[in-house]
Amino acid sequence: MKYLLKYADYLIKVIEVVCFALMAFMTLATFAQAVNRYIFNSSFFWAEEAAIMSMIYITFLGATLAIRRDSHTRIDFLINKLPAKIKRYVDALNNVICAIFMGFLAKSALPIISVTSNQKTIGMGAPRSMYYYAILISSILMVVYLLILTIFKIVGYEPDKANNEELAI
Amino acid sequence: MILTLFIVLAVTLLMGIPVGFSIGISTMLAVAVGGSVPVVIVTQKMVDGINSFPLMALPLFVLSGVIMAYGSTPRIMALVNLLLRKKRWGLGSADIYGCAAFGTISGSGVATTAAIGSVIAPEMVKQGYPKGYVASLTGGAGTLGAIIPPSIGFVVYAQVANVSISDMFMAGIIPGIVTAILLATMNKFFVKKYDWIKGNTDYYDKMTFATKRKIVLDAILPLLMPIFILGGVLSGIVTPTEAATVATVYALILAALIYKELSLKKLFKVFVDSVISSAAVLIIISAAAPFAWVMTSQGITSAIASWVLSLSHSIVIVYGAILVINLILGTFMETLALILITTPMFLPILVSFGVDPVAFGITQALALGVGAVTPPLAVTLFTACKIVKIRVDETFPWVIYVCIVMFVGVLLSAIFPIMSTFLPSIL
Repeated sequence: MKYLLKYADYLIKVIEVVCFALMAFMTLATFAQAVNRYIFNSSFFWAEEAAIMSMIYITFLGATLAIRRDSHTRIDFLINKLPAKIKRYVDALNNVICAIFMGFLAKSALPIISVTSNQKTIGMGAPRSMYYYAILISSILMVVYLLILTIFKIVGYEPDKANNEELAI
Repeated sequence: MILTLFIVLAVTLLMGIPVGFSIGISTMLAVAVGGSVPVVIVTQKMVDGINSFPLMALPLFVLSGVIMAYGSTPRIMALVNLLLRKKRWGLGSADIYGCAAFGTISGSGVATTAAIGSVIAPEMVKQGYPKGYVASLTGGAGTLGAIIPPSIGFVVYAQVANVSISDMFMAGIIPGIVTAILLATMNKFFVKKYDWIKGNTDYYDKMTFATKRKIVLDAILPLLMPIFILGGVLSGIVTPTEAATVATVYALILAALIYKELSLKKLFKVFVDSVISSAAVLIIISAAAPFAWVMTSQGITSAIASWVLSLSHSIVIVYGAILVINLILGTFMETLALILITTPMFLPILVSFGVDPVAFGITQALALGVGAVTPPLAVTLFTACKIVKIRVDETFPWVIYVCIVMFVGVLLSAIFPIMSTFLPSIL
């Protein structure tokens, strides 16, 4: 279990670095666009579009990170009242349900990707399918993590929650 | 289809499945059961729901709020403390007005509670305030962070209610200040009644003029930030998203270059933490888009509206019932998720009665604020309890008084919508 977690967390580290870069890019692109608009009175539309696309990737990749850290918003006061062992199995079941949902989401992203890959976005001229790749990639990642966490729940292994200090909003 | 939607939603939510997933699962199943539209629409709407420039204000305000905790927040608090030091109830007031002041930087109630509470709550306990009272007051005042602009809840509400974020920001100012004054009055009353504070409270007496001057000067740079944000947005020079990005860059410069409290390693952590906090909300917003679409396209929204109207034609009863539902749901559900789920249901009903959507957004936010300090799910109260190191049940009965006072704020805002609509109409 420890090794499984170790390798899975390498992937988490990669996602974290990607998210860091996207967040930094989003901030700077929006900032540059604002400065450009007020000081030089011109605007580059592609920056706005690229920033929004970053946010979409941040949403879905960040949701993957939130699964690993168990920091998704959920109503847990009911299942917290259950005996620890039963709660573990309910958690496992929840993970499986979510994994099935993400699987369907990934599957339904495929036809949209094939339709939109020839369409170009207005600002960057990038294929419109890039928006839906965010869902496809993250859904697959989420299925992987949800299943790993399900195995942990069933065998009763508690992954450490290091770094789990982000401010809830 | 309607039945599938709501039963699956209720079951998955209560099972403890994350809110965003619950909404997505129930919507997808409802669409599959309905069979009239392909399921692909869910995926498509999920991307559409967050493909929005105004919405970018959300992750950016989360980021700027977190960064401000490095160096800026303590400097603002020192100033608030200095200004209120003479009064016996001064520290309690500093707690409340500190939260209000921090609300102009942060868009979140929990972040405000954590930032201000960790500075001032331990001091209050030292001065003689009971711990349960300190936690309740800090938890209540912390919700001001979500009322006083910028507010992440308002960005979310503006998205679903189709109103301008700037209007929401302006509208939040007066109700936020009124709630702060109500809480401060309560604090003054309790301090007088129970005579908690003994001895001299003026810590700053022994300070030299130079030290005091330094406190004031130190606070100037961090205080420029709310001036940028509010001034920029309220005057209409910048959009909320642009203000958020300017605020983020400014906060970064302060924390990393001027105060030198943010190393590269911490910076990485701050960014990743902000990504996760934002994603946890954005995924709900994303899933709520197909949910809202199903609700309106299948006529569920109008069905609920006509059902409510068949029960009563009195605005007082309908508005009252909606507020009570919000208060009850608010005790066990997360604020932003509630805004996303309930707004498409309730807003059309109230609009048909002539209620201003902006004014309702503010009243709803205040009502959900009360929910944020009432267990079982009381995010700001939990945070405050963690800071003071007590169990949640030790906050009774104080938390009840705090809730009552905050509820007075809700009623005032519902009865006098002018409190919200006044500023947007003149600016």
